[in-house]
Amino acid sequence: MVPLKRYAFSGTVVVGVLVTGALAGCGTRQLAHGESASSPRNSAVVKISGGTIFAPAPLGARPTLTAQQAWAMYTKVNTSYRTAAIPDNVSVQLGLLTLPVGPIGAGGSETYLAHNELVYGYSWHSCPVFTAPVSTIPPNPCVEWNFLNADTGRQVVQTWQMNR
Amino acid sequence: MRALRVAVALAALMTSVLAVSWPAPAAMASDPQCPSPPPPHDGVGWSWTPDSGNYAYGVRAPIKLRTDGLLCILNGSDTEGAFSAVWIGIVKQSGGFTDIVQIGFIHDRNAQGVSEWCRFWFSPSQTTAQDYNCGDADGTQVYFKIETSSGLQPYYVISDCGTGGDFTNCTTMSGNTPAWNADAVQVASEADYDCVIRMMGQGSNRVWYGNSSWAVSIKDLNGYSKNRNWVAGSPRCSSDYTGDNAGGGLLRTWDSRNTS
Repeated sequence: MVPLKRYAFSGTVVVGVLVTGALAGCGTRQLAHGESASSPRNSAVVKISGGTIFAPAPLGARPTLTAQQAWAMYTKVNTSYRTAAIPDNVSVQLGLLTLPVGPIGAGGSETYLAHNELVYGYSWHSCPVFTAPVSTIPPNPCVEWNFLNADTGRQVVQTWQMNR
Repeated sequence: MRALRVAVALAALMTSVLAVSWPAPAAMASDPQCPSPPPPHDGVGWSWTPDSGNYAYGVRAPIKLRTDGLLCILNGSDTEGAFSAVWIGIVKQSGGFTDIVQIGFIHDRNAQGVSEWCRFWFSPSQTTAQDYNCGDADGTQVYFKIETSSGLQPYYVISDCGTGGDFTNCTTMSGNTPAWNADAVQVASEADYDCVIRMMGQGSNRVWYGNSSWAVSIKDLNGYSKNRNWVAGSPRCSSDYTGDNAGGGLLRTWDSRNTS
């Protein structure tokens, strides 16, 4: 069994370090009960899949919602969750999400679904879903991410971390 | 009649299972055990292939969500999540099925291992499904479309046009897949863990692709038309995975085991 890594929430921002083997979320919640708006920040760049990047938030970032508040708002929409509390098996980090769409803007410019959007990234152990058949399961840490806008609680995307 | 593509598109090759031990997620008591190793994908659906010299420039349809079905409980060594999905898509034709762009609804599990229903899209650069807007109510009709962009290098533009009743107010989810020279359109209900999973929809409450105002329409050199000769695929799980073509671009799928 591959050993699990825990995030060290020391507040140090390490920009540009690729964590391709990061196993975030396969462990207990990182937030304490009654956490303040200063939520643990993502400390490294995480490559999700297909160009989606979850990067550290600036030190001065002040989200409107706490991670718990954003999750509670989300569970009002996604009622598959029985309670508004963040599940114990879910880790959460504050960061910047960039989700490119493709070069279909004016003059072939890149367009985005999210571009350095301040989000909470909630992660947990879950193996990926392949709606297109694959001959071999690509290597991946079986970590699923749900990204919620840190100011509104709106879900941006929920997907799996892939090693590329 | 062109060879069926749905079966090719929906049939995954056997995968090699990594010997990694993971704790199984919490699951509903009624969910069956997933088989291991995971069998190929299966499903029921239809395919349309353009004639020589023509292309599939786009497909659009409202899809009506059914929040039913059953997933299976993963074994500790499984490396593929359980799901079922209903979607429209464009597939790459050359050399057999090799790639796809698709959008629709997906039934998978949330962080607590409980069933959830989300919208999703897929493009080859993503590798896995991209879920979003989780929490649509049963019966929600979302207008989806995939079109080819203009320009020297056309791309497949995958869009969600919401629930407003037409295709005028759309959000682009993906636009980075270069259009293929040979492509075909597919509409399908799909599941992995072949037949163990119950797909969405039941006989009295089916998943609909198209409605009385907006049928499933395909865009080719002559523009959009709902009058297409769909070729139905044959699922391996033929006793349970069911679909019918109601005519005029109205297609429906369901699982015969689902009840109210």
